[in-house]
Amino acid sequence: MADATPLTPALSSTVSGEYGAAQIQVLEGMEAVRKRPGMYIGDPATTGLYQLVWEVVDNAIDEALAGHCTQVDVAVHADGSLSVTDNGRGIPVAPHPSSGRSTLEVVLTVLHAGGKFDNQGAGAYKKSGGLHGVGVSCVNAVSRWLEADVYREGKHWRMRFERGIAIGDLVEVGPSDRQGTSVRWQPDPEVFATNTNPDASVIAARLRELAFLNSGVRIALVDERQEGKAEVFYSTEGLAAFVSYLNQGKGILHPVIHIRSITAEGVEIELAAQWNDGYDEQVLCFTNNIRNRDGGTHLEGFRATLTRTCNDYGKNEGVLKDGRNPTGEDLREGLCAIVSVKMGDPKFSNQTKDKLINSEISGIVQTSLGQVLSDYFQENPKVAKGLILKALSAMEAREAARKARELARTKRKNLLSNGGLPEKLRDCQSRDAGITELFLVEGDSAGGSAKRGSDPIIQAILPLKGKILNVEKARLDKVLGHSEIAAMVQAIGAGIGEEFDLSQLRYGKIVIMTDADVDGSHIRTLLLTFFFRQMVKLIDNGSIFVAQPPLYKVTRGKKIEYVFNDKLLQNEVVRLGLDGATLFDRTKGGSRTWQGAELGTLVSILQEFEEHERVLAHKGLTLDEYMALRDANGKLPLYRVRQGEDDRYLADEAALKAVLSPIQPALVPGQPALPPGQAAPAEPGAATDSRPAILPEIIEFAERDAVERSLVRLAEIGLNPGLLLDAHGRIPPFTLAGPKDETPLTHLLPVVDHVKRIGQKALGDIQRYKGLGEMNPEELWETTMDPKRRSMKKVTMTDAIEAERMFATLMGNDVAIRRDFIERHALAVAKHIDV
Amino acid sequence: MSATFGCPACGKPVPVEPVSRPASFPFCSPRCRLLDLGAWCDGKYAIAGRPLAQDPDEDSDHL
Repeated sequence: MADATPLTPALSSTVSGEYGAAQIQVLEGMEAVRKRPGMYIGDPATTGLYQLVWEVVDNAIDEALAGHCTQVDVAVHADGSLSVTDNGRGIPVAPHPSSGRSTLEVVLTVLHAGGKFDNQGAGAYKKSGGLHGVGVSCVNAVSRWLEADVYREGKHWRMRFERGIAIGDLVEVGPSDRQGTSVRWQPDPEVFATNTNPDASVIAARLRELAFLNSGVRIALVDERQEGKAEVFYSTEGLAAFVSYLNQGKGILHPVIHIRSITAEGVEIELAAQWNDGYDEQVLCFTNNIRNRDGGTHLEGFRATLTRTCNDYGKNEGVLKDGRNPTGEDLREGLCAIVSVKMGDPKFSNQTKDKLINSEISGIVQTSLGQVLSDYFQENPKVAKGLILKALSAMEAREAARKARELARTKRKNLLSNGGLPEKLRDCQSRDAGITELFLVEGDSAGGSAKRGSDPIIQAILPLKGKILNVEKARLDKVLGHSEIAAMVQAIGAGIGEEFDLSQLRYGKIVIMTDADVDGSHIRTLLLTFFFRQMVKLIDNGSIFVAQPPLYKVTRGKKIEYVFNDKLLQNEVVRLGLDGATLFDRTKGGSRTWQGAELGTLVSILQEFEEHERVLAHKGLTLDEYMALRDANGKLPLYRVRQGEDDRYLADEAALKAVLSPIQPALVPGQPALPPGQAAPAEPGAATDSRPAILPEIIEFAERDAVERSLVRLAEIGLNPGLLLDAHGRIPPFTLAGPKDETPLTHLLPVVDHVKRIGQKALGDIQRYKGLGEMNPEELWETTMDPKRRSMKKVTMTDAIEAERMFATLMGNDVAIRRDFIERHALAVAKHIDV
Repeated sequence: MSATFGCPACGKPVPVEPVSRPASFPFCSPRCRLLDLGAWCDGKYAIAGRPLAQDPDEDSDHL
């Protein structure tokens, strides 16, 4: 300790009359700590109180490191005092050679006194956390009182201090067979003010850490304030157990990597590491068991080694191609690791040892860890490849985040050119989002029509390019490129992803307007999927609409009509057909004439029958055949039970149950049934017949009641059902007359087709719009954009999810993307499969 | 409809109901959302069109 103190030895305070200059200096040393505790133990208002515990515990752990201590007991006493007891060698009590006072007193009262300065020769500790000899004397200085008990060489010694000053001499209490040191102190309220009530969980966390760092040392914590609540920390697996503890509850991706190495210089390096499926990096660093919160040269060395070893391995094994180099940060995403070095003569940036600064350690760690880690990767290629792929995904996310920021940034950059808006946007004049609308229009020609056919006050137009020639120039693929995405994000003005802010929305309605063909529907699907995934609040808010442009333009003389879908066109055809058709009916003797509304009613009933016929066809029956299946009670069947070649038609559920229960009780409706035709699982001991029973196929005629209703409607207008269907050899009882011809009919069902034929002739010129671009601005305005006349579909969450499903199906063909994605997430996916 | 939805990026189930769904909805995590946004920006989401050799009018005028 020659270099450590300028203090001349102080005499025991009890030697009266010799109260000299030397003693004053000692008092000054203790007083300095009390005056400026922050310099020695950290902020008294926050961490200082705990630092006292750490200082005393570190001394006990140093005894353990030196191999002399196996048990450390920490207590928070009911009176607010704290104690640390170890079973080490006990602080020496013999007179200190250079002062004449007991070593215990010197250790507790003199700053920079201790056994840890000389790690080569005479020092008591080769490797230790404490190093300045400041620690425990500081504790003494800021304690209202401190009592030290030493058990050593068969005796029990005690000494008491108040505010750093010895009260009386070192006392021999009596004989003892114990060994060790116990220090108990009460933090001084003058220094700590109100902060003298330590949180036991903070102490427990550090003690747990120490137990992991010192395999085999049992560390106990008792809190007398909580009825003696006790915890014991003990580990035999060291750092591996520590990492497992830190990763508890997280999705871990592989077993803990645990490697150790001792260098020629005598530095012990230990690393435990395990990646989890999270995104945070948690690397704890220790030097001689002391936590270095800010890392230091050992952390630098570890990071450099990890980055280099992973990149080298990735390149050599072909996992990293095309010059893709994940950064250290990418590689450390989800990493939980402990780096521990044990060395002589560590240097730290301050007394609280937050950062190791021995510059040689970085190189030493890199040299020794690099080889061991590289060997580990060679032996565990699955783990190595997995974590490199994970890093690639981190890299991709980092790049995506950058692109997302750029999407927002472009806006500011363009501020001077077009008010921060995309160049292609023809904005509207109003800034009132309550009334404004943004039309997303696919295709330049349609965009041109839309611009001219819109209301420039409230309607903005953004033409989008949704089709590009693919790489092989063989197809026009549908895609929203970066510039389209950026243009939309900027025009909408509310940001993207998590930062999306509805209050910034520049338009009240966002209207997707695409061609009514397959390409148009694909582009609509892309847009809806994009909004659903990246701006879902727009859908929640009901801000997204789909324009409904007409599919047909019907010109009859000077009259123009727009028809929006096929069903409406069919209705129009029927309506016109009814205008020009007459049905002569000779079924009731004389001649009845069906025309206009009456004929319309008949046609609508016949259309119902057409629908029934279509549905029945799926079940292998014609309308004719079905109606012939009325049972003895006059009922049409509700079920068909088909077993092998045998069909049974049943009118109600009771009949079905009666038929099924002998075959298989589980098949009674309401219970899950096996797929038809599949053999029922044999019930052990139930069947004597070893042949598996063929399960019956059950078909329900859910349309039965609708058929009956249609028949009633038919009867109401005085027609009997027999007339619906063709009866062979019947003399045609009907004649359908159009404007130019007459057709004899044997039965009623064909009436619909003939009416439509007449209607189509009357309809005039039908033009099918192949795209929005075929409409002139006036047509587009009248039919699709004019708020007073148009109809638009609001996109609901259900619609959006449907679009997402459609998208997934369409994307399903793109094997490359899916494979790429799955590869990159292989590690995580494998984990999910394992669970 | 079921109360969960597969995360479009990784397939993990994500609650759909507004009260229980995460801020990253429809994705399970901000990470998955970010990866997806990156893919949009790179124009990776392309729906294959019909081969150009074919008659582009083939599926129209079916009245």
